[in-house]
Amino acid sequence: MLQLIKKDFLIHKNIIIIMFATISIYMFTGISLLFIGILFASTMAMHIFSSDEKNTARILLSSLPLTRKEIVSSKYISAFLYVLLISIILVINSLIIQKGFPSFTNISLIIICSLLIISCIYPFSYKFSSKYLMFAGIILCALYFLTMSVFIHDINDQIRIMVGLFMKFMEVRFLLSAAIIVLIFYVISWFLSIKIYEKKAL
Amino acid sequence: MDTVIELSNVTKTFKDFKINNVSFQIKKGFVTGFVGANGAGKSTVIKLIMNLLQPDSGEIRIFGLDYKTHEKEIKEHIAFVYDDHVFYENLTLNNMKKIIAPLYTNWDEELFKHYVIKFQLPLTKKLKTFSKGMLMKSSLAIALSHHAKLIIMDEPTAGLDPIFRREFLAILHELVEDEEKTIFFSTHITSDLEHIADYIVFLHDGKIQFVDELLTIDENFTLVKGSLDLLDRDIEKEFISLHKTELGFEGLAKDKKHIMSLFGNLAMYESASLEDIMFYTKKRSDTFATID
Repeated sequence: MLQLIKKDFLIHKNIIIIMFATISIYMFTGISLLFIGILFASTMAMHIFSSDEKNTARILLSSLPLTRKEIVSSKYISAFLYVLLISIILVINSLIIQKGFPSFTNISLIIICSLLIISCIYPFSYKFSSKYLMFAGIILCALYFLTMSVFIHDINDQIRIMVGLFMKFMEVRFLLSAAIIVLIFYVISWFLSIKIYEKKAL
Repeated sequence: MDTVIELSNVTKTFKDFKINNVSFQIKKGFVTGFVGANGAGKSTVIKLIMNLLQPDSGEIRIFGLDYKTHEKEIKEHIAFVYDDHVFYENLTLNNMKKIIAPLYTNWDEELFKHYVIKFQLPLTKKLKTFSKGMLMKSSLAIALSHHAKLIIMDEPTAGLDPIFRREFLAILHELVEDEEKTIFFSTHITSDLEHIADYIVFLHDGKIQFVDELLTIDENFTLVKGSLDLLDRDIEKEFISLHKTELGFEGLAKDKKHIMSLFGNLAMYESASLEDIMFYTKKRSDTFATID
């Protein structure tokens, strides 16, 4: 399984370099660190997923002396390591560009939110295909706009207020609880993906 | 005699196709050719043997073991070559080898280097720049470098030039000389099998038509040519199928002795190739489909 994790870094080594440079550009523009972190972590998680999503890659991996449980597990571990790698890149970039450490809360939230997103999209992608994620996103957007126009007209303002309050009262104890909940969710998602992939016809 | 692959009453149903109650055994130390027309279900059966698909019913045992409890152990001793190029195209062959080699406990680096030199493969060029023949050679180099007991190949000779096809068949021949390795490979280029196969498994429309020694097939099947007045309704039943023209008939029979006792010197007899057997079997099923 370690070999599969190594593969996820070997195949994407050029992307990692490009990602480092692109994050620097984003940080120069002063865009929220939280936004940059979640954007890059989710993108990388999907990128490493899609590289093994082609049927030929699946046939190759499943023909090697590996179980499907190991194939799925390696992907979850790689995605976790990528989230940590992006957080480290953000810290390094902050030190270089902004001459200081980013806030602990921001980095923690990046990790928590990214893991939560991966927990949702990986089982979906194993079950259907990552190409349907965009459609799922479009449907969710439609539901969001429907909610805004029919039920809660000021939903954007309410979310903004809620996030503001959330950030204001953020404590280490709260972050720790959120991290534990998300980790449990990540592990459940991991097992769910194993079950889905074990039944999949290649 | 050891059995390496054993399929017992395996059925797998898809929307518009079915692998129907397939049973056969592959013996250790021999080359077995897996033949059938395009769409007969050869790749599906190979996927079932590789555990890429699970059967709806029936049992598959490799080296006497079940995939449910011994998946890694089984695959450790299988080498595979697929028709489709399955490697990561943005990697070099060297990088691909670095990913795959540590997964096999019996990986032999010297043997890999030997095949890389023999096949004239560039190690540092990206696989996406390789021709189909080079990709097949790369698959073969990796497949043969971990001392597998069983080599499974799906249409390995498709896309190879005639010179390398001969070399490839010679390599397969060398591999089974010690009678420890078993080769099972599908092809629709049946002339390849006539050079090296010991046994033939013939699949048609998801069903096994026969599993037999190549020599026995050669002894039993025959192409018969004669004038139309030799035929009547009962005699026509002796043929797998017939092709009639105004000048006469040509048909395939699977009991050479019996058909020769019926026609004697009045008909002409020729050896039936695997291609003839595939052709007439397909013709028979097409005829029945038309009648249905």
